[in-house]
Amino acid sequence: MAVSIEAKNLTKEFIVTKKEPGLKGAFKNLIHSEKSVFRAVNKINFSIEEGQVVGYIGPNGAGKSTTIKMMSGILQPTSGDVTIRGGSPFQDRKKVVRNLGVVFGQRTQLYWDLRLGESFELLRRIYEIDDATYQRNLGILNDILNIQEIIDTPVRQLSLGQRMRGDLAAAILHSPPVIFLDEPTIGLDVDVKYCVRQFIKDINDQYHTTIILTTHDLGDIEELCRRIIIINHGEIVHDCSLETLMNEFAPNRRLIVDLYQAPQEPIELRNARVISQEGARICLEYNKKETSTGDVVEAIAANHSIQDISIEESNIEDVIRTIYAKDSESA
Amino acid sequence: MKVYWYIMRSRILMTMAYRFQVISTVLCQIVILFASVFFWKAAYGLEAVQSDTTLDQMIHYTVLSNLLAVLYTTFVEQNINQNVRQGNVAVDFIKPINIMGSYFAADIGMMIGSLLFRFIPMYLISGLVFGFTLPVSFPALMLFIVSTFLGFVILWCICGIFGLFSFWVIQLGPIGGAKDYIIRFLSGSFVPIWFFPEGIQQVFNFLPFVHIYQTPISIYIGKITVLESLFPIGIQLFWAAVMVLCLTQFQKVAFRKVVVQGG
Repeated sequence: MAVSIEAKNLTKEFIVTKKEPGLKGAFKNLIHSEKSVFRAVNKINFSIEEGQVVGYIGPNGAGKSTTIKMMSGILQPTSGDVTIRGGSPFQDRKKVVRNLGVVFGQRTQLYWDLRLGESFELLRRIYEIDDATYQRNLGILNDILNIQEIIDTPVRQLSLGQRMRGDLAAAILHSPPVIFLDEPTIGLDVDVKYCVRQFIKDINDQYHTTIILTTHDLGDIEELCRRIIIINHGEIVHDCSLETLMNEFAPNRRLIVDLYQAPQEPIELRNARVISQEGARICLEYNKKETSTGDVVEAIAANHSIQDISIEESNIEDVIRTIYAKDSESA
Repeated sequence: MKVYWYIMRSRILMTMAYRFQVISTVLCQIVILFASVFFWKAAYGLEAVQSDTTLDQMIHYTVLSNLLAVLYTTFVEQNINQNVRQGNVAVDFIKPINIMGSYFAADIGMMIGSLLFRFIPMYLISGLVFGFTLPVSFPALMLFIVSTFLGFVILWCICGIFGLFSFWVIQLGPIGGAKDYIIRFLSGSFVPIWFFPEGIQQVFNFLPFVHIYQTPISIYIGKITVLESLFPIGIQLFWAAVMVLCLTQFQKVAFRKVVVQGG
């Protein structure tokens, strides 16, 4: 498979001026302000193949957006390199961004005062999309995002969800082979969120588009990304499949068993650990690799009559929280 | 190329969309125009002015200067500053177009819009009151158009360079306004520089500013003949080229300084 995006020792430093509080501080800042270098992204390396959907996650301020901005030619790296399909987005900006679709969840690239369709018309000229392709793409977008219903509305009158649909459509009107989505589901309701996820899946399926997605919504990750890269304090801390991550950080599964009668004495099992036992409800934990759920159930059923059981999968949010927490401890 | 035409066209349409703004700016500009004409009438009436320029020429000069000011409205500085402050530069950078080129196309569109909806109405109103200001000859009119365009390019580049400072200071503040007044003063827009001492005139003639306002107006009203105008137009061309060069070089430096505000 061809490599689509590659980062080598990619680093970005910002100069931060320290502002002192109060009136005295304000005067002091006028004359002399203390400057310090803040390294937002620190020598990161990754390589992404064509057609991959990658979740790029990390806590606020970890360096996600900075990376995206370097990849899309907005920020110049302090050192290191990033290439999109072999080209450098900063040195060769116009050529590289032609193959790029970018959505920033927090800002719009649509023209505020004009109707949505007008923005599309402009994009059509920017990317020199021919008529047939334009009509076809608009048709496809209409099927997924229902664009027709909002195309004549001025962008400033669109709701956040409608605007996001417009922005997504605008980002892929020119069928780019690479798409960056920076928090595309921020502030959206479940309906629109579903629609956005469906959209990402569809274009990845149909066009084999490479997609990098930053998000705080782990539902997005769970549903869309086969690979996740976790960044914290500007460094990549994990780069693996979601499954590997889950197995490593949450190897256990929980089983809750309701019995007909509360057992007389505490239950003890060979293959599972009892976490709590309140009346007729018992909560157990076991390693899902080593022990099968059937074995655990059977072991209980040998001595007690079971009324009901439910299984709790460890949830991705807990895993991510563990990773973030562990990481800031070591930092 | 198509995209720049399209940007220009949509700006022309935009100037039409805001009817209230059109009417109110025409009214404001007319007030300023009248005030400056009456100033010169008073000055000549008091015989405070010693010049070989007639009052009539001076009135036409002032009317034209005010009309040009309407055409010479640029938004490049404001656009860059606003985009930097709100972090929208990000959106400019992800499009495969020349960023300054798209701002220029937008401002040319605004200029054409202003020509149709501000310049012409103001020309008619002031013409009815003070007598129509006509070009001295057809070639003079043609050269006036060329010279006005070159003046616009010079002014636009200066504003563009100022706008690019936003990448360092984030908030331009009142510098922009101060710059506008300095330019209008140095360009002979308020007071033609032939009223200045000889030595200063010589210096001003070689600075770019005079060629924003005074050169095109002088050609139009016949203060300088068609033949005489070729030299200042040459200087205009020189300055336009220098300014474009400065702007493109400066832009490269500025774009390396991009910081996106607000996430």
